[in-house]
This record gives sequence, C-alpha cells and structure tokens, in this order.
Amino acid sequence: MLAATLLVALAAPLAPLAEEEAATPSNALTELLNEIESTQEAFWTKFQAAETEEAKEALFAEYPDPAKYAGRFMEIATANPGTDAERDALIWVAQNVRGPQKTTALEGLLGSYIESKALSGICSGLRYEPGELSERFLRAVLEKSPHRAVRGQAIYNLAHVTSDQAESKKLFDTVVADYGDLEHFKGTLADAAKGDIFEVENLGIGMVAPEIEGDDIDGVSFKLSDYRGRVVVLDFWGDW
Amino acid sequence: MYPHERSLVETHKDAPFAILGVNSDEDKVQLQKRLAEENITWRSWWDVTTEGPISTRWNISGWPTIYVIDHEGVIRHKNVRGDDLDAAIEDLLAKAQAG
Repeated sequence: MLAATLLVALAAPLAPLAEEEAATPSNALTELLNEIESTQEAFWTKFQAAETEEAKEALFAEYPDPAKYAGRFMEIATANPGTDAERDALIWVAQNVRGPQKTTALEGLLGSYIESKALSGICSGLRYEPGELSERFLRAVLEKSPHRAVRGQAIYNLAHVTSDQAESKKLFDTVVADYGDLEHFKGTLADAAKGDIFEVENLGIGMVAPEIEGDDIDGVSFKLSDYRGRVVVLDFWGDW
Repeated sequence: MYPHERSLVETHKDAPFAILGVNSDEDKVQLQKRLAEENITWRSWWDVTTEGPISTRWNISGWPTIYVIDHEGVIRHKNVRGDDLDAAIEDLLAKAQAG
C-alpha cells in the first residue's frame, strides 16, 4: 500500500517552469533547473534498471524530492527582486513544494506577479489545499488575471475550496456559462463543473442515492435499489 | 481494503448489510482471477474504465471512494475508513433494526 502510494506520487511529473514573456531567468535559476533535471533523470534510469520490486522499493529513499530544492529557489527569488527570475522561482516553489516555503511563495506571487499567465498549475493544485490562503490566492487571480484560461482555473478551483456551499454552486454555474469551453484534462471545464454540480446537488450527505443500474462482472444486470432495506457500503474500486 | 471488507461481510452476514462495488478494471479476465484469489464475494457493477458511466455520474476522481448508504437509500457517510467505517455501519444497522 505504501509502495503503491509512493508510486502514484512519483509518477506525477514535475510541473515544468513556465516560459513566458521572453523570460531571461538568471543563470543561477537555469543551473538549478538543469541540476534538478539531471538528478531526476539519473534517478529514473537507476529505478528502471532495478530488477526486483524490493530493489525498486529500496530506491524510494533516494528519490530527489523537489522539496529539497525549495530553499535554493527561495534564495534566488530573494536575490533578484522585481525580475523574471524572482517570479519564476516563486512559481516553481508554489507548484512543487508544500509547507511554509509554499506559503511564502504564494504571498510573493500575490504581492507582485498575480497577472502572470503561468499560474494555472498553481490554481489546480490549490484545490487539494483548502484554506484561507488558497481562497485568497484564487480570488485574487480571478479578479486580476488578464488571462482568461488562468481565470478559468482560478474560478473552477475556488468553487472546490470555498467554505461557502451556496457560493460553490454559483461559481460552478459561472464556470459552465463563462469558461465552459476551456480545455480541462480530456474534456472541458464545462464537463468537469457539470459533474461537480451533480455531486453538490445529488450526492451529498442526507440525499437519497441516485439509482445505479448496470451489469455485474458476469454480465447480470442489477440495481442499487434492489438493496433497499439494507445498509450498503458502496465502494468505487479497482485492483491496481 | 480487501481483508477489511472480507471481515465486514463475515461480521454482518446475518444483518441487513451489503458491500457493493463499482469496479473500473479494464481487463475482465484478470479481474475475475483477482476476485477468486482475494475471495471477493461481494457483487460489483463492472464499469469497465475509470471513465465508465457509473463512475462518471458519481463524479469519482479518486479510487477507492466509499459511500455508506442507509437502509432507506440515503447517503450517510462519504470516504470513511477503518474504525470510523466500522462504527458508521454499526450505527446505521442499529437504526435500521430499530425500524
């Protein structure tokens, strides 16, 4: 189970640094990014060469966690105030790290770079970190970003993290109406938001579960309502 | 998860209780093999992929996702695990049996 969880975490690609507005990051930033890339490549080469599950498991301890580099990115940001290097270093930390350094990076972006077009990835990530800072950051992007695609991610993820249920529904409706055409994973933001609206309206605690009707693994059809009268644990699962 | 589910089935075998799965494995033959190996006796809808119709309708984005539904078909808990899941089931069974 631990191994499976780690694998999922490792499989997530490092969010790339955004290239924008002919950025000329300082040499220090470029060198640090190259260092991370080569360290990562070396790790994966070694990982793929490992022949047994045990050997792979042992290698997890050596994984070059992006969090280890956060301090160096923050040093670059501090040394280059008001430059693309500062902006890109803050974006990298906000996107790849959690904890106090992420908080500092988000506050820095809020203060100086809220109009950057490279904030979509950060907005998506904040969905899983509800809290005052996430809400404040997403609201600021929604209000101030000149980039529609970035605002689309801000409002969609704000709908997820807002603590106000009624606002959540309103925001999802606005996503469908105003940002629905934007691409999101394999579909559009409208597809995603409609699924979320259905969940808010039909899958909440205290609501009658929607009917499920379909075939079991042997091709025999059955329904959730066949089990009325029983307490049901409904488990969405896969053997992976 | 399987050992916990097997123990729930055993514990509540005489009670009005069921585990129902919505399975998103794509390889049916492999899945049937795993059901036998793991002694998974509870019934699942086969949703074929993680983007199958049931998983999509229920807006599932992470697996496993657990809902606990009472004897009247009302959703009572979402994503409870371990001891909390055991307690939730006990509580709902008590209410079901109280009428």
